[in-house]
Amino acid sequence: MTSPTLAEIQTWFQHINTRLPDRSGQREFSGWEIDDILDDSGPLNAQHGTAIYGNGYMARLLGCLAAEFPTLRQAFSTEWFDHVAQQYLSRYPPTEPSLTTLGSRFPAFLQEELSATSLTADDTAGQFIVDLARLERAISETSRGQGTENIDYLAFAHWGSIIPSSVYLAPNLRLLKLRSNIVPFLHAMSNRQNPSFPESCEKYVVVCRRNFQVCLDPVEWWQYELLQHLKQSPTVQPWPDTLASSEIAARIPVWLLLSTERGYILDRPLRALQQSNH
Amino acid sequence: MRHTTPKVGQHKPLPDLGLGVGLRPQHFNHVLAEQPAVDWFEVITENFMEDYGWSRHVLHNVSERYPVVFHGVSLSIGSSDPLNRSYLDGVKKLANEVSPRWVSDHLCWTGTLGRNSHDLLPLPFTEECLDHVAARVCQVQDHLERPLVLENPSSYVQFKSKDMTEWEFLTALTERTECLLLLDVNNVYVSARNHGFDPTDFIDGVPSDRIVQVHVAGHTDNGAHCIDTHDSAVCDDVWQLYAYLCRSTGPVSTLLEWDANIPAFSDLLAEVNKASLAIENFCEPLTWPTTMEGRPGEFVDIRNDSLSTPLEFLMTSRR
Ligand SMILES: [Fe+2]
Repeated sequence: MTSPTLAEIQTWFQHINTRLPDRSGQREFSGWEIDDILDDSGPLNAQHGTAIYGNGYMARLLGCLAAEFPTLRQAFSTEWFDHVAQQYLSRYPPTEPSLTTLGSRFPAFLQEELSATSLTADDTAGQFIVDLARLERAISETSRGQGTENIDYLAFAHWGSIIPSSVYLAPNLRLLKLRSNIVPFLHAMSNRQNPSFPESCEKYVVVCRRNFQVCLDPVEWWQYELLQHLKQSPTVQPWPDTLASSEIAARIPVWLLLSTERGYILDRPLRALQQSNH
Repeated sequence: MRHTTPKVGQHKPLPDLGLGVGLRPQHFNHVLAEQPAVDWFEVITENFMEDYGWSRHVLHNVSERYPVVFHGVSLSIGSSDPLNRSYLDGVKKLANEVSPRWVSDHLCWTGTLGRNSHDLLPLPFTEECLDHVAARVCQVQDHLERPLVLENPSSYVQFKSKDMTEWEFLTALTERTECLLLLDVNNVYVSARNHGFDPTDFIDGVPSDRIVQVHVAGHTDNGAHCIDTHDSAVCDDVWQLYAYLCRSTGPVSTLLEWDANIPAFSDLLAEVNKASLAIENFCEPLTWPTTMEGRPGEFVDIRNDSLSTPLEFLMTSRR
């Protein structure tokens, strides 16, 4: 056998340790056996040494997903979580240098999996699982994202009662429309209580960060719609049609001011504010 | 904390920072509030690069009070994939922001074909691999505009393709690239136990004047082999090996790694402070309570193996 190249060795080693099919069009791994490539003369035999890498690969990544979705894992069985997380990692093996993106597709993956297996459209348990995963992922993104902590809030003093024509969402703000009252459930689980699963009802939550602490603020439907509108476009007016009723339109200016205090919105993009603060 | 003066006439490419520990999220509040008496901190680069929240805030705060060193786990210097330029840009940006005393990573690869296993995978010590790694070290040093410090990882397999030992590989790499070394004596010990070589051959084989930092850590001893678990105190064998190394390096920046079952900060300090005692009490010849040949024949169920290179601590970033 001719000496394998570095690329061939790595392709083979990765294949046997991750048990993943190689992407089509990529380098083919040869059908080598462990004894063909690895030196078996040391105290730790090659088979066992390989298993340490192989077992460690999945165990390490499962541990990271478990740390990002602790309530989901705790609320259902750890066996169920590990099983579904393993399927997820097989479909979406990590590619980035950072672990922050590892769980980014997990809620969507759960949605796909549950849609494929659910018998009825009204699958409340499935919706709860997906929403809980969305909430935990949002918490993780908000905790790491660009926040407004170091912004000089005096920048807003000139607002007075006049709303600027454009306002911007804090980059780490996440908006969620949930199909059950999950937030109290999550808090109870975090406090090691044993809450019952929440009943179905529509809830709107802003996930934001104040003083480096993630906050889960309940909001009303029109406040959620308004923030969604601002997420698409920083232009305050015209309001979306859903907010056009005179009663709601009258409440918007006051609530936008409150939103600046809560760290949801800024009067210019965060980058511009950071520069003007220096 | 250690107060030592370098040996007369010894020129170190980077300063001796004393005795340090890894800055871990579990200790953020304690470090900010108490400003404990530790000489320096090492931080996992990737833990801060994409974090603009509490972790980043703490890093800025700590770097104003203590010397900080970056330690990366995703450079993948030995991968056959192209270098990840955006990753290097991220390291450089953070380094410009925080001014670490130096930037280190591992002599390993983490994945190929666009994947990242988040493990420190072993390289074949061949001439081909040396050419490949040396060229990439030069590219990285040019990109970062600073020397790269490379650490020997612990390993559980060796490749049949082999033109030299790991220490010969590291030596050749320093000669070709002027990179510096982070010598992890626990990794030397773990690899020596797993592959059956004398750890002092490794220590004697690397150029001591290129070693700018040392790691010590705890491992799990399964009798027939060892796993680099970073979850316990440093064993006597590793402290002995550390003291043996320090005879040739002189005082050198020393860091305790503890990444799983992380104890109270005071326990970390007590552990790293044993370094001075290990040097004082050192006497030859070295004796190994467990033979380097391991104990073949002893049955170990691999499903019960502990996890090497723990990562979970990286996921804790909330205040
Ligand atoms: Fe290390």
